[in-house]
Amino acid sequence: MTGNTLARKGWVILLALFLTMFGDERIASAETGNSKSPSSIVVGLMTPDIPATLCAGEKISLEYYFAYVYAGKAAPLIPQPLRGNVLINATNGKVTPEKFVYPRVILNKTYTGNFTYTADKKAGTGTIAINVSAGYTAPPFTVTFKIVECEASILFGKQSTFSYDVTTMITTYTGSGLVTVTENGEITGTGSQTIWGTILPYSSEEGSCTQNSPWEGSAGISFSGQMGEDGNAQVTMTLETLNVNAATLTCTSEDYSGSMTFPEYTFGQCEVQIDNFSFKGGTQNVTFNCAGEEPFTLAVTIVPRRKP
Amino acid sequence: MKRAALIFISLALMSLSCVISSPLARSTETADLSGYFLPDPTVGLDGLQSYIQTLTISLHGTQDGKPIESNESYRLVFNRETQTQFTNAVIPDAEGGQERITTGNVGEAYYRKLNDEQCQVWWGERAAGAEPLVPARLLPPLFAAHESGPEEINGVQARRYTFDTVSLGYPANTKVEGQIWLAEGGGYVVKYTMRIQDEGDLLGKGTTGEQVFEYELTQINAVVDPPLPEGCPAVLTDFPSLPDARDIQRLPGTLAYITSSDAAHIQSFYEQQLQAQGWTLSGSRSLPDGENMLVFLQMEEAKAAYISIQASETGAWVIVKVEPLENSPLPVLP
Repeated sequence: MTGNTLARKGWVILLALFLTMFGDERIASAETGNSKSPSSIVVGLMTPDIPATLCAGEKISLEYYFAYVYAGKAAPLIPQPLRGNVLINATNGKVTPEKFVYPRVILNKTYTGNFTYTADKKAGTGTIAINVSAGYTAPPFTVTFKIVECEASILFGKQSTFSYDVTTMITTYTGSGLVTVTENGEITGTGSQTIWGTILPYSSEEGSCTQNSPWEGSAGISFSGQMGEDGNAQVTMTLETLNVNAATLTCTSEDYSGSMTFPEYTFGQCEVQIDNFSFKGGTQNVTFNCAGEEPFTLAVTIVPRRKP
Repeated sequence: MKRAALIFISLALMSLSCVISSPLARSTETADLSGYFLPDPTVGLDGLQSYIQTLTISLHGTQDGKPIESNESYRLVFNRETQTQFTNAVIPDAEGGQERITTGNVGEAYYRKLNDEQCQVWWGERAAGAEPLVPARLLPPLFAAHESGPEEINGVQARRYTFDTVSLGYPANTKVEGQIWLAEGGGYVVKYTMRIQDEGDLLGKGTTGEQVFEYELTQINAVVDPPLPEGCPAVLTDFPSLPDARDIQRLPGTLAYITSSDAAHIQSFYEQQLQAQGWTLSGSRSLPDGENMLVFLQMEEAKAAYISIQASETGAWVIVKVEPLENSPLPVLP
């Protein structure tokens, strides 16, 4: 190799080195965005409550933060004003929005942004990587989780006690079921509802009363719906026709004996809407508005069953 | 030519040496903060059992002649023993208002409350990498400081230091007045205050103003029982589960798990366990789809517990829902 050739190649290397030194995007001082090490750009999640396991198709809302914290001599000050860019990448799911632009980033000020991640409707491993550049390019802040197929148990119930004078009536209404979702987002499921109640036996100086048998009945429930792109769905819960047996309340005293018959009763089929149904679970108040009955509200609990 | 090559190689080696030591180089992923007085403001926190971190950062000034104002506040309550951690942040939102965010956990119960929205709760394990915000991470590291003596602060013996523009490596025209207190035992930051007055060299061309940091660590090893954030209900922890319960989820008023036991054994378990807690079995029903439903009452506290037992491929799913009793009849009754 001649001196000229060596010199030419050398200048190319030197130029590359200088470009590296003075390029616009510089590497921040921390090893990873999740590191606790001091960094020129601090990146993280304001809402770090991401489960280690998400359900397929589940949507989560997140908020990130970043701040340009000057690290002094170790990471020289970038001339201001700074333009900040945040790019969010994801695997096995969709992030909305993916990009945020901050035209003017002020030193030591915290910036935030809200985004959603909707997991694919299939099992796998999901990641969310938040990439921030504001003069320096911070190493990505990365979160990793599992995506599994889910079912959901549904449970609701209401026990009430009503007292009037010496009479106490206890009634119970419960419902439960299991809901599954197919890969195309169709939601189906079945369950049961049951009701029973009785007037507690009572006695006083004037006499006593007893109910010959409790009111009782049970019937099926079916669930149907379609999972939306946003991870939520409206599920229709169809309460099938429920028959309750007749009962007789008999009262006796020293000089009187009588009975009162409560006839057999039929609750007709009824459709109840569960809005914002989500496989991540939770409890929501649902209005039961059935023909021939006064509307009432019950707390319906959804519990995810994550498949291993 | 040989001379030119030698000169070039020397230059190249010098440049290479310069770049390797420069923090701006792409190959340098960690800054060399070894000579720093305070390279990591979170130092020593790992050795504490409990504490409260509070941080406020305010900015008042002008940008392109127009007034700008920004106020951020953070509060972190941490208790290692009870596995409790809550971070409360009040930060400016995009519309010029303020956003209130509370996140945290008590063990495996995770909470989130945004502004006036309903508190969200879930149970389980947090995703890998999803670390909570630690306010001390937002404090700038210090290159140097001047010791001004021992002082007791927030209940701990500490050493007080002052720092200035040079300590932070800020531009000469920027004025900084700062104080920091480091615990004599543990070396953690007990207090960090800083006032920056800048005419555009630091905050950016066209931006002038004052930035103030106020950070304190209080109730050091003295946080006993951090309360849940307002509006966030406790999960159901005082309701028993079978010894072989797995995939347990505890939510407000709800307990769910899988067990290998059958419905009869589950009912027997709850009759025994709950009796001791003042519950009585109000009724049990076998439902058309094979489910079993148990209802227990706790009259003293006016509560009802609904226990659904659902068979599955991997065992029986037990779902418990506890609700207050209402002194009114159900509308669906005959």
